[in-house]
Amino acid sequence: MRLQRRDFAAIVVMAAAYAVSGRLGLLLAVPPGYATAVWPASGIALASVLAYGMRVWPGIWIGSFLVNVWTALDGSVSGMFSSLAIPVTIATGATLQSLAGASLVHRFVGYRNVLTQEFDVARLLLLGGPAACLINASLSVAALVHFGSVPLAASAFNWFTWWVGDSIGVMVFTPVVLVWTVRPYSQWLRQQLSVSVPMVLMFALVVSIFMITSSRERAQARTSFENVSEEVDKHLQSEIDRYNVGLSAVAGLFAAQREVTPQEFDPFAGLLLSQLPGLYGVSWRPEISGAERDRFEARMHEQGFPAFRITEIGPDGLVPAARRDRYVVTAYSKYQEDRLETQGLDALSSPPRRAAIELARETHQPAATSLLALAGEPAGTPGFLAFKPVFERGGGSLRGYATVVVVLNRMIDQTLRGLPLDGINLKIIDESAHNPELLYARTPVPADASDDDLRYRAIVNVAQRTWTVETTMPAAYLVSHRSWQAWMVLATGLTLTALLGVLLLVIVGRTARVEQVVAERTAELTERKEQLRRARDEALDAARAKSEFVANMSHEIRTPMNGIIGMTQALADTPLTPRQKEIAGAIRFSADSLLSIVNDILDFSKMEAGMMHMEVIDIDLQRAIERVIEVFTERIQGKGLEVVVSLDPKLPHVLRGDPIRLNQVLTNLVSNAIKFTEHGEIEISARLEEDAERDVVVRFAIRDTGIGIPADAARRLFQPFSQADGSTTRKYGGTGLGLVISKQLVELMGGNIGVNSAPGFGSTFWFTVRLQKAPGAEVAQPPRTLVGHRALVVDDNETSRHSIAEQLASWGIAAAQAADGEAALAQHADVVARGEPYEIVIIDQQMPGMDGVELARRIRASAGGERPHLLLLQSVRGSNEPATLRAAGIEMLLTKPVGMSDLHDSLTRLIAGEPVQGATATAAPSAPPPASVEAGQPRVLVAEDNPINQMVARHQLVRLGIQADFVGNGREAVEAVKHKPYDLVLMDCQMPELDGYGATAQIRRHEEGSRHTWIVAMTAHAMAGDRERCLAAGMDDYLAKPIDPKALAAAFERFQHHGGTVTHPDPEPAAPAPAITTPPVDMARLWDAANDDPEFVRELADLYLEQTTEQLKLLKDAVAQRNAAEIERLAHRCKGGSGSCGVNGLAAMFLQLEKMGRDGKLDEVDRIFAGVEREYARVSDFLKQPIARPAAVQQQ
Amino acid sequence: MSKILIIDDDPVITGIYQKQFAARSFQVEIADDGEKGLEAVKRFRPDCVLLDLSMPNVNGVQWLNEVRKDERFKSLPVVVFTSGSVGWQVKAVRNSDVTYVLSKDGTEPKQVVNAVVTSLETGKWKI
Repeated sequence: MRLQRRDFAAIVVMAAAYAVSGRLGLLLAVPPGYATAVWPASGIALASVLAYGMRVWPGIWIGSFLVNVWTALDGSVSGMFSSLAIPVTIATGATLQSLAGASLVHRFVGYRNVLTQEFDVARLLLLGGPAACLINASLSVAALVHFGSVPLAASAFNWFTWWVGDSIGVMVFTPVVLVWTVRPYSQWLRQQLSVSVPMVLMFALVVSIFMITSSRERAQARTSFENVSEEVDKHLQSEIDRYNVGLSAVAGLFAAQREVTPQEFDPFAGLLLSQLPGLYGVSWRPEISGAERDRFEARMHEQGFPAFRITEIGPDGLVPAARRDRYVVTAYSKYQEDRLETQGLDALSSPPRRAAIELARETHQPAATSLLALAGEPAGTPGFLAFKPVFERGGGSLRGYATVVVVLNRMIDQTLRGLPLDGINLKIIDESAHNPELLYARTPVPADASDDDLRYRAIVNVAQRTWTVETTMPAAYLVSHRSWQAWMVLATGLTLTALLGVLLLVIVGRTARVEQVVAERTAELTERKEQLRRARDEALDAARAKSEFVANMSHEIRTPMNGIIGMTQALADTPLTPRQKEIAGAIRFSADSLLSIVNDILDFSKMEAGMMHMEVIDIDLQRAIERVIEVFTERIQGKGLEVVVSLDPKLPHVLRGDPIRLNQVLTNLVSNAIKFTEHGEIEISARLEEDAERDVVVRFAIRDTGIGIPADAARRLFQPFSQADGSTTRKYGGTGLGLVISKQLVELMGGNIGVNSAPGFGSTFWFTVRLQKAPGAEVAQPPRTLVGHRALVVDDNETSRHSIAEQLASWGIAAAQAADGEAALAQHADVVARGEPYEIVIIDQQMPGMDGVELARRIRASAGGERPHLLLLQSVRGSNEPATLRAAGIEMLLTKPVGMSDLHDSLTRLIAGEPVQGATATAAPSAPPPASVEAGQPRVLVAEDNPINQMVARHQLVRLGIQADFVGNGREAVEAVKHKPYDLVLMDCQMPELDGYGATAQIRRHEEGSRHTWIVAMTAHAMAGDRERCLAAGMDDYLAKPIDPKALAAAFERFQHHGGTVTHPDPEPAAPAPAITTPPVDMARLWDAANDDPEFVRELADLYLEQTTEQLKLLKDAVAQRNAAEIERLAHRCKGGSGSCGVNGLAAMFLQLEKMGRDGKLDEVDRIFAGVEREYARVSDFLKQPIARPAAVQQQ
Repeated sequence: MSKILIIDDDPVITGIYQKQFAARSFQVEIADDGEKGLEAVKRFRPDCVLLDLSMPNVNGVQWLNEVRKDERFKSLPVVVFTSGSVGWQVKAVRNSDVTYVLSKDGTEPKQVVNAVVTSLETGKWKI
């Protein structure tokens, strides 16, 4: 294997890291000794092998070798290495241990995918730690023992601390290093700090606690050692004092009396000996001059010591002393039982004794000898003597010396008895001699002197000699006998650190794993959501498709339906036999039913698809209800039902909402009421239920006197496909969806729907809707010209009568009521008598007894001067001959159910005294609206591809008195409009080649704003948004197929209401033969303005022409100068005059000019003005002719 | 015999209504702008005024404001008869209590006459 540069670098770094961490680990060794509880290097080594691979092994070896040699050399651990083989072995052991640990981890944990599971972490640390660390502990300690650095006895201890230190090193430091070096695991990197910071802090804390504990432990050991040492010193001193006292006592005995007999001395000495165990002997040694020698020996003989003589120690024992001038002779003595006869011995003959004696004699103080082999002792027992001089009383001459002989060992042993001297070595040294002399040594702990030894020295004075007492507690003893507190703290703390590491790794691992799982789940969820979204989109697409399908189907069905209904209508208008009429009616009825079913299904599916959108436009509630009733007029009349409308006067006149949907609900409920009511009446009421700031809640109720509904069936009414009774469908027809649709519509309009009913007592269906208030609705009310008038309502139906009377009252009319003809006549007579006759009498035609016509005749006959206006309410149209009515004095005929706005109009006209043509001026709903043909024939183009529908449209238009041109597709429609100025185009939306939208767009482009052809869309595509689409395409109005004749008439009304007077601004109508020629002046209007005065008509026409000619000159200038304000002003003025004189075409053009002036859009002004001039020329020509009174004028 | 003052700058209009009212035995005075209308109302003391809005010099709105300042004319019935397109002016007179606002575009002469007659009967105040 070639050594790569990177490998080399890794090895060097490894070696340095090992050596440095090893040294740091030694700092943590517990002094004294080197039991280190943590060896970080082992952890770093294992982590490095795991992280960088086996190739770093030389780094471990070198690092370990270096740190051990380094330690040995700087002597911080003494006597460690007796051979270089030791560091080599240790380095090898460390290397093998790391490699083995890494192998174990690889094998049993599976490195690179670990540390997310607590078991993995635990296994990693246990295998890399305690297991692998057996290797180096065993190998290295064996080497140390083998080379004698560690005694065999200490090997177990050494092995244990080694193993623990290495294991903890691995458990603490491997994770810390791993989190910083394992780069591939991004989650680890993110969690480095969360693992390593707590671990390092914990480690520091443990080390700090260890340091404190360790130093306290040391201080404790020192204190206890010093206490013992002091005790030793104290005991020794006091022992010596006791001997001193003994010596003094002996001296005192001889000083006290001149003569002491042996009999006196002996017990005294015996007492002393028994008290002081170390006392070898007590003696009295008088000083004798050479002259007194004989006399003294003689006196001793006399005193009972016949053999007494003065001796000295010769080479072969005691010999008679040589002649000297002085002797210090043992006269009396007493020794322990093993005593030796030393009586007569001259102490001066022995130099050490003589030195002490001379010191005592000089200083008059006791003096001790140095350590002697005591004379006569069997084993030459070492000891010393102390001499105390005794003088004659009164400071006289020296008499002799009291002497004690002390066996040193015995005295010391006695002294130390009972003291806790474990581990303490003791030395006593006599410092007085020239060379300090070791007196005593007690060394139970064999050890080399070390700096770590505890030492204590004290000085003891012994009869003018200085002894040093030295106690020592060797480091070796401290090592083997110390408290393990600190080490335990360290080991436990580090183990806890390791556990913390495990915990953190597990938490981090868990977090990482949880995050990973969360990420996976999130991805899954996202995927799931995406799937759901797709599924939802597909479902929506499907729903749309279904809805489209239903709409298309409905379109497909509506187109032929249009044909069937229209052609049936056409058929019914031809002369038919009664039988044929009956058949045509049946076809019409069936077609209508089918159409309503199709509409129901379409609505239902629209609502199912959530595609029903509500409009918000103005709704005139009264009109809305009346429209519904109009639709059913024939059926109501056919059944002979009374229909009464009752409106809450508090309701705003105009509200905003969706009139079509409101109409649908009302129509459905009214239709049901009619369907299920054979006799009696139907009341439609609207009440203000809630009046909020911006909107109101209106409660509609449709009450009938029909068959009623059982309660349990009523509950199911509003659920889809569950009519009250299956048989109902068969009997009365319908899909049963009507109420369901109504319910959904009402809910869309923010309301509720319900029914109160009992079989046989009729039903009341009610619903509420929330409608917005229309801004400024109140000012739109018509002028109240009816206020203050007096009226009588005669009707046998109470509901109807009340309702009409109530309505009259709300218009300010004082309305009286009568239930039959007799009562009416009576009341009439009464008010005439009082001079307050009724101005109006409203009479129901069908009454029991006296009928309406009869009553009218009798009122007319009875009345004096003022005759009331008579208004008849008929139930069936055409049931009275006009002549009969005129004869009866009836001025106006209304058909029940009476629309209130029709009633209002009729009353206004009656009171205003307008001529009423017999009884024909009625609000008969199905009559073609005369307004549509009033202002001359509009030019109408119908674009429709279906020939049957063309026929239908032609028929319906003819009924409105309109001739129309027909084209078969959009392209033809565009061409036709280009060539002929149509006023109104009925445009089918679905056509071949070019559809209605496209055709409209082209027409609008062609017009360029110069004119505006009113385009009405016809579409069978009755989906929501269709109307918007038509309007967006530039169309003005919208009709749903099949085209209802009334809707068509209403569309023409709207066309005219929107200023759509028939205009012909085109210079030269291109079409060679216009279908309808229109006079430029509405003659009826002109005559009306002239108050039917033939002279004034002429005058007025001339005045008009004069004025307009003058104004047009000014207008021409203004146009030339592009003076918008002036154009506006002049056009406005001309418009007023033109309109008032019935010059409608010109008035409309002036309106255009006025608008242009107001908006400042003068692009087209020249063209329009040219049109004005041309039209004016036509008007002028026309008015200069004799002005004929139009034949139709009386038909207004 | 009731007195009607017609204030309008268009002789066609004044012509028509002079005829219409005269035929119903009203005494009619014409003023062809607002300024003359102010003079006429004081001199002629009409029972009802038919007022155009869009006029030179003093327009209808100004005329109304001026006249209503005078105690004597506080309850004088006024029927506004103007072209429907002048929306802002119509709005302006709504606050100045007039009896009716009629549009020249759609209103027939009889309706105008009726409005004036009703105003004469019920006074200025709409009920």
